[in-house]
Amino acid sequence: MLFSGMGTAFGQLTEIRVFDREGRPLPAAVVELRSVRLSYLADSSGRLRLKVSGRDTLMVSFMGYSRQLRAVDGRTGKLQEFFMEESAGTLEVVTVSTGYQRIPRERSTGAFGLVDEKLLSQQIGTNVMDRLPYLSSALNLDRRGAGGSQLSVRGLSTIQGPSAPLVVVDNFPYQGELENINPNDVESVTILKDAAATSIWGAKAGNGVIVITTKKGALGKPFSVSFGASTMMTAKPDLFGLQQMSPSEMVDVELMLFERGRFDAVSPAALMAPVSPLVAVLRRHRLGAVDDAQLAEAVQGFRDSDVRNEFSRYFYRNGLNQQYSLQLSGSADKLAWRTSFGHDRNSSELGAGYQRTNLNISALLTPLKGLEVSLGLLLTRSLSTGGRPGYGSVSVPGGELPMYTRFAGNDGRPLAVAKDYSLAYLQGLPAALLDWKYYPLEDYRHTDVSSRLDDVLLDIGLRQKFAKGLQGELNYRNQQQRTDGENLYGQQSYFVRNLVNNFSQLNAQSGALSYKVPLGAVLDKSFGRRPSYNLRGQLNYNATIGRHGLALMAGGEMSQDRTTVQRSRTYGMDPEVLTFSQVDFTARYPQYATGALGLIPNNQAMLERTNRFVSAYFNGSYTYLGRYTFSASARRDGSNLFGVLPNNRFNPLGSLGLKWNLGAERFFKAGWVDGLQLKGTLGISGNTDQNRSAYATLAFPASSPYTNTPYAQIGSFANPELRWERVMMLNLGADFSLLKGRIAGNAAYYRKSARDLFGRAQIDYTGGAGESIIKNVGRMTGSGLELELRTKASFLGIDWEAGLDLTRYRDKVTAYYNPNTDGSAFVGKEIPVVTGLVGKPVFGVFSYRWAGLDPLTGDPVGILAGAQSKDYNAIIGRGTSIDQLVYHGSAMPTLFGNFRHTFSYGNFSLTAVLNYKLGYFFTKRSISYNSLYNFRTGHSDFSRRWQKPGDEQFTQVPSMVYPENASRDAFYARSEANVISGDHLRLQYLSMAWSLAKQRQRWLPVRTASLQLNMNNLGILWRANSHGVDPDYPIGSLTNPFNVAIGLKTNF
Amino acid sequence: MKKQPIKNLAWRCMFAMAVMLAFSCDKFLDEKPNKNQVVPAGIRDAQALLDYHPTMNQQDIGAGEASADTYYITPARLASIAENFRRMYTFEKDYLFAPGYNDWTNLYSNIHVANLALETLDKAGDPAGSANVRGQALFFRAHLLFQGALVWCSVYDKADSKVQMGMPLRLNTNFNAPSTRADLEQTFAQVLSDLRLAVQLLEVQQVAPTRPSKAAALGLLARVQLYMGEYGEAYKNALGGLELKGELMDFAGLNASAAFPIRQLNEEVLFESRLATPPPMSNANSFVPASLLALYDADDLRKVVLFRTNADGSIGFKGSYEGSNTYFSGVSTNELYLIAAETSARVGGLEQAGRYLDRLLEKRWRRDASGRSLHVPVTVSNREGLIDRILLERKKELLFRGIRWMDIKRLNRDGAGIQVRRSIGGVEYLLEAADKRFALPIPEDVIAISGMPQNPR
Repeated sequence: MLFSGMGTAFGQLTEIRVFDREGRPLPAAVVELRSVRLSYLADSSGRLRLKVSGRDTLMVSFMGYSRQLRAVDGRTGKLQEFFMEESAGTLEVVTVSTGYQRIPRERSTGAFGLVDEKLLSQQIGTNVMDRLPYLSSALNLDRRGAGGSQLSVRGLSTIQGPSAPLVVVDNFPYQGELENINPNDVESVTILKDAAATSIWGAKAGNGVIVITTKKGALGKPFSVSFGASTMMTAKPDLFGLQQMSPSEMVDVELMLFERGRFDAVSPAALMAPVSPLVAVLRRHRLGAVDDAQLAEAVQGFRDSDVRNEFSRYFYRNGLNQQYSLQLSGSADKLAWRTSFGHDRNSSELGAGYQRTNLNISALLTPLKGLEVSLGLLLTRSLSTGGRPGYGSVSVPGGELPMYTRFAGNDGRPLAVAKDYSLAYLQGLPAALLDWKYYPLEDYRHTDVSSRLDDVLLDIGLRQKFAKGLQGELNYRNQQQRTDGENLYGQQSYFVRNLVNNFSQLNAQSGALSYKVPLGAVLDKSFGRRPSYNLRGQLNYNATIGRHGLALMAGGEMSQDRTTVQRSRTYGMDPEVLTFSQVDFTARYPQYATGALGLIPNNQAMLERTNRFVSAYFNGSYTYLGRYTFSASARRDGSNLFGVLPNNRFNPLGSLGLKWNLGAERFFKAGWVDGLQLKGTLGISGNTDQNRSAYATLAFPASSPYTNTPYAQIGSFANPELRWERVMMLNLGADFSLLKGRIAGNAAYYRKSARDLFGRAQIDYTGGAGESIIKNVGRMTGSGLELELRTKASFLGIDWEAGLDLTRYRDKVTAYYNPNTDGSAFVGKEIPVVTGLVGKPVFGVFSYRWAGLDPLTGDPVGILAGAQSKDYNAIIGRGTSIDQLVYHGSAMPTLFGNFRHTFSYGNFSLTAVLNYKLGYFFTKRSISYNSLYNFRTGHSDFSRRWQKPGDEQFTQVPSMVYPENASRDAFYARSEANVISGDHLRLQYLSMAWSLAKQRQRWLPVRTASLQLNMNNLGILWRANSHGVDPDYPIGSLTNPFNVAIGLKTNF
Repeated sequence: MKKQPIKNLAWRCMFAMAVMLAFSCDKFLDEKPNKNQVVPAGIRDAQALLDYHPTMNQQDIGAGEASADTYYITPARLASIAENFRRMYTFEKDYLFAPGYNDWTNLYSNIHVANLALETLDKAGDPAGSANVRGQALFFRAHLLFQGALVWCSVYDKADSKVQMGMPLRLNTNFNAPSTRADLEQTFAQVLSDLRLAVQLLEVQQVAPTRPSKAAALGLLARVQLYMGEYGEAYKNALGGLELKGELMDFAGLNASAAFPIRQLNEEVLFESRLATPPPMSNANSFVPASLLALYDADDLRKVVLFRTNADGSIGFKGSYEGSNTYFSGVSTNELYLIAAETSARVGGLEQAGRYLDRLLEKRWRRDASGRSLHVPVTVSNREGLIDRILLERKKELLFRGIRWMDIKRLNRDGAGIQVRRSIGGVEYLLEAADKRFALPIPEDVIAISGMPQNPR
C-alpha cells in the first residue's frame, strides 16, 4: 500500500528529501518503508514526512535513477537526504514541456521524445532544426519532395495540405523562420508523439508537435559566463556524383538530331529560337560559313568540355560558417536573469551570405509572494545575400544547359550562352541595341540580391498562486517581424539588357531607337511585415490529498498572425544617386524580336494574410497511490478558415490516458528491473485542409491590360462534400530501467486509424474543376513499434554510452472510395500518392509489368491483357488497371532509426551517429528520350542503353529511337525495371570532444572548457541498390555536401 | 490581507478574458484569411471572372484547324513534336489529346467560369444592372460549346441531329454531376438560346473587345447558323452585327514588310480571342502550300500582307489579327461581310451578295495612283458561280482562325467532297469527305472516367 504525506500524529516524524545529483528536488519520488512494504509519494518538492518506528530501511526510487536503500533509525528524527544517481541514457532530463506546462515524464501518460542540450550540442551549425532528425526515433526526414526536405513526426498522418509539424518555442508556436533561433539558447527539444500529447495543441498539431524550450535564468544560481565559438567548412558538392550523361554522348545525340532535321528552321521565328552551341556551328557549316575541318575541331572541343567542371571551377568554393555566442546568467534576491548574444556569419559554397545576430534577455521576478513574473525579449537581425549560380540554376528556355557548355574561353573571357534567342539572330541586330547576349560567368555580378530581417519577440508571463495548489497563469507574446528584400539588377545584367532591348522601338525610316524601358538599373523591393500575438489564460490545480493526486489545467487562448507584403519595381535607377525614371505600365508596345504587343512588367503586388485561432482546452490527471494515473484532455479550436460554414470552424478533439507504475507494486519482484511503468492513451485528432472551401473562391492576381480593371481566377472550387480527416490514435508504452540502470529506455506501440482521408482523386474534367480534386478518399490503419534504448558501460576506464532508436511502421488502406482504378494514377510518382488498393500501404510503390527489351529493336515490352505488348498508349492509359500493376512495397521506410555511440576516456569523447532506413522502395530515374530531345535532360543510363541485338541480355535501358515516343518513355520510367529498394545505412556524423574542468585540471584558467571536432554528412555505408543512387535523393538532386566543424566552449 | 487586491485583479483579468473568448469568437473569426481572396458575390466579381483573358480569350480550340487543309509541316518538324499531335496531324483515330490537360480541359474549365459568373449574378439579384455581364457569360458559354461541337461532334445536319451525339451540357458549377452527352440538336439548341439571350442583354459598346459586344454576339450567332444551314437567320444576324459595327481595314494602309503587318485589336475586331495553338500549326512549324498562295491575284494585297516567303522559298503565314505568331479566332467584320454575301447568295439577292463581297475585297486590293482600288467588282451570272466565288474568298480571307475546319465540315455535308491530304515521307494520309474522323476522339481519359460513349471510329 502506498500512503502519501503525513504520518500519524503520534510517534516521531522523519523528514525525507529526495534530490538529483545537483541538488534539484525530484518530485513524486517513491519512498518505501521496507519493514511494512508501504510506499509513500514525495511531494512536488521532493519532500516527505514519515513516521518511522524504530530501525527500518528506506528504499527510494525514481524513474531514470538508480534505487537507493538506506537503514534509518526513526527514533533519532534525523533529516534523511537522498541524492539520486542517474541510471542511463537520456533519462537525466525528466521534465518534458508541452508548451502549456512542464511536467515530469513520470507523471504523464503521453508519449514524448526528448532531446536534451547534451545531445543537441554534439552537432555544430546555424539552424537548430537541422540537428534534430538523427536524435529521436519519432522524427524522420524526407527529402524526396520538390520543396526540399520535410521533417515528420511518426510518419505522415495527412496526405494533403501542409505536412510540417507544429514548432513551439517556449509557450507559443513560433511564427517565422526557425533559422532565426540561436541554437545556443536551446535547452531541450520535446517531441509530442501521441494523441494525448498533441491533443493539447489541437487542430494545428495533426502532424505532431516539436517544443523547443529555451534556456532561462533560475533563482539561486550563481553568476556564470560562458563563451563559445565554432567554424564549419563545407566541401564543394560532388557534381560528378549526379547521374548525368557525358558531354561526348550529348554531342552524339545532338549530331543525330541535327541529321534528322530536328533543328531545321526557315521561318524567322524558328531562326530566332535559341539553339545549343553545337547546333549553331552545324547550321553555319551547312551554310558554308564553317568548313569540315573547323567543324571537326569544334565538335572535338565540345566533347572535351564539361559544364560540371565549369561550375566547379568558376562558381563553387568551400563554404565557411562561423558562430560566436556569449551567455551570462545570474540571480539575486527575487530575480533570476539570463542574457545571451549570438552571432553567425556564413558564406555558402556559392558565396551566398547569411549573417545573424541574436540578443536574448530573460528575467524571472518574484516581486510578491505567490506572484511570478517572467519577461523575455528576443531580438534577431539577419541579412541574406545572393551568391553565384549553382548547378542547374543557369536556365535557358530550351531546357537544361548542354553538358558541354563552357562559361569562359581559353583566354578566360566570358562566353555567351544562347538564352532567349539564338546567337546567330543576335549577331544580325542593329548595333544601336544593347548587347543582348547572356554571359553566365559574370551575370551574377551585376545583380545584388539581399534580404534583411528584423524580429522582435516579447514574452510576458504572470503566475499567481491563489490558494494551495491553485495557480493562475497569463501569458502573452508579441512578435513583430519585418523583412526587406531587394533585388537590384544592374544595367549590365542580362535581365535589364533584355528588358530594355525588348521594348526598344526602332523607327523604320530613321533607324533611330527609342527606349520604352529606360536605361539604368531595375530595383525590385519587397517589404514584408508580420505582426503576431498570442494570449493565453490558464488555471492550474495540483493537489495531493491522501492517496489521491490531482493535476488539472484549463484555459483559453487566442492568436492572430498577420502577414502583409508589398512589392514594387523601379526602372531606370541609378543606385549611386537614387534617381529613377518613369515608365508607362498601361501602354502595350510591340516587342523588338517578336513584334507582339506587350506590357512593361510592373512587378507590383500587395497581399495580406491573417490567421486567427481561438481555443479552449482542458487537461487533467488523477493519480491514485502514485501508481495509477488516469488522464483526460479536451480541446476545441476555432479558426477563421475561409469559405467554411461557421459551424464547421470549430473542431473538438480529445484524449484519454492511463498509466500504471508496475515497478512500484509490491507483488512485482523481478530483481533486475529497477523500474517499470506502463501507459496507454487513446485520442482523436483531426486535420482540415486549409484550402477546402464550401464555396468557390476567387483570387485577384492583377488587372487586365485590356480593360484596366482587376480580373479574377477561381482560387478554389466549391467543395462542400469535404469533411474533416479524423485520426484515432492508440498508444501503449512502457518506460523501463533495467540491471541497476545499465539499460533504460522506452517502448511504444501505436495504432492509428484514420477515416475520411484526404487524397487527390481523379475527376472527370468535363466538370470544369480540373483533372483531380481533394476528396475524402478512404480509410487507413497504421501501426508502429518504437523502441528507444540507452545503455551505459565502463571498461578499462572507457565509458561507453549507446543509444538505439528503432521504429517499425506499417500501414494499409482499409477502404478506398475513388472510382478511378487506372493504373496510371498510381505509378511512378516521385511524390507518393495514396494507394488505391485495399490492403496495401497508404503510400505504395507500384509499377508496370516489365517483359524486358525487344531483342530486335531494344523497345521496352510490357504486358497488356495478359500478353506481351508494345502498345504503350494503351499500357499507360486505360489498358492497365491498378490490380494489374506490380506491387513492390511501401514507399516510406518501414524500419528506421538511429544508432548512436559515445566512447569517453578521460577528457576525450567520441560520438558516432548512424542512420538507417529499411523496408521500402522507390522509382529511380533513368533516361527519357523525350526529355533528352526536348529539354536536354540526360541520364547516365544512356551509356547502358540497348544498341544491338544481344544487349537485352545485360541491360534494361531501351534503345534510342527517333522520333521520340513519350508513352514509350513513360512506360519504361514507371516499369518494374526502375523500381529499386531504398534500404540504406548512413554515417551521419562523427563528433569528437575534449572537455576540461578546473576541478580536474587545476591549471585551467576557466571553470570548464571543451573543444569539439565534428564531421557531418559522411555518406552512405551500405545501400541495397546497385545503381549508386542515394535513396534520400531519388530525384537526383545534389546531396548535402560533407562538412567539418571545430568548436570551442568555455565557462567562466 | 495586503495581497488581496492583486489577487482580485488577477482573478478579474482571467474572468474578463474568459468572457471575451467566449463571446467574441465569431466576430474575431470572421476576418478573411487572405485579402486577395473572396467568395464571388456581385456583378463586379462576375465581370472580373470573365475578364481573365489568359483563359477566356486565349484558349480557343485549335484541334479542328490543326486537322484542316490550309497548312503543311515537314517530316523533320513533325518528328520534333509530341506524339499526340503527330497523331492529330495524320488523322489517327485515337490518342490525339494528352491525358489530363488538353483542349477539352480548357473548354470545360472556361464553361465552368462562365457558369460561376452566371450563378454569381443570380445571387446578386439586380437583373437590370447585371444584364451586360450575364450576356457576356452566355456568349462565352455558347462560343465554347460551339467550338466543342465543331471538333468532337459530327457535322450538324437537321436530318439526323436528334440521333447524332452532341456535347455534354454543363449549365451549372456542380462538377460532381456525371457527364452525359446530349444529342446534337440539344447541343445546338443550347448554343442558340444562349446566344439569342446574349444578343438581348449585351451592350453595343464594351470597354474592350475582350468583352463580347452585341455585334459580336450577332456575328457569332450568324456563324453558328451558317454552320447549321439556317441561311436566312444567319443573313439577318450578320447584317444586324454589321449595322452596329461594320468597319473594314484597308490593307493598302498596312506595312506589308513588317513581321506581322496586322495589329491586334484593329478596327475589324468585334470580339478578341485567340487559339491555343496546336504545335503542328505553330508559326515556326507550319507552312502554307504554294497552291493556296496561287489562288491570290497579283494585285491582291493579301498575298503580301498575310504571307511571308522564308529563306528557303517556303511560305509562312503572318496575317493573324493578333499581330504576333499567335492565331486570332474571335469575331471580326470581314467574316460578317462574307457570311452576309454567302447567305444572301444562297437565299436572297445575288446583286446584294456581290456588293457585300466587293465591299470587303475593295479593301484588300492594291490601289491605283488615284487611290481607287484595283479590285474589279464581281460579276453576277448565276447563283452557283457566285457561291463558289464567295467560298473561295472565305478560304483566302479566313485562314488560321478555326473557320476553315467548320467550312470543310458543313460544305461536305452539302456534298462538296473536300478531302484533307497529308503526305509524310512518301506516305499518304487521307481524310475522306464522309469520314467518321471528322468528329475527333474525346480524350480517352475522359471517356474512362465518365463512361460517356466515344465517337464512332
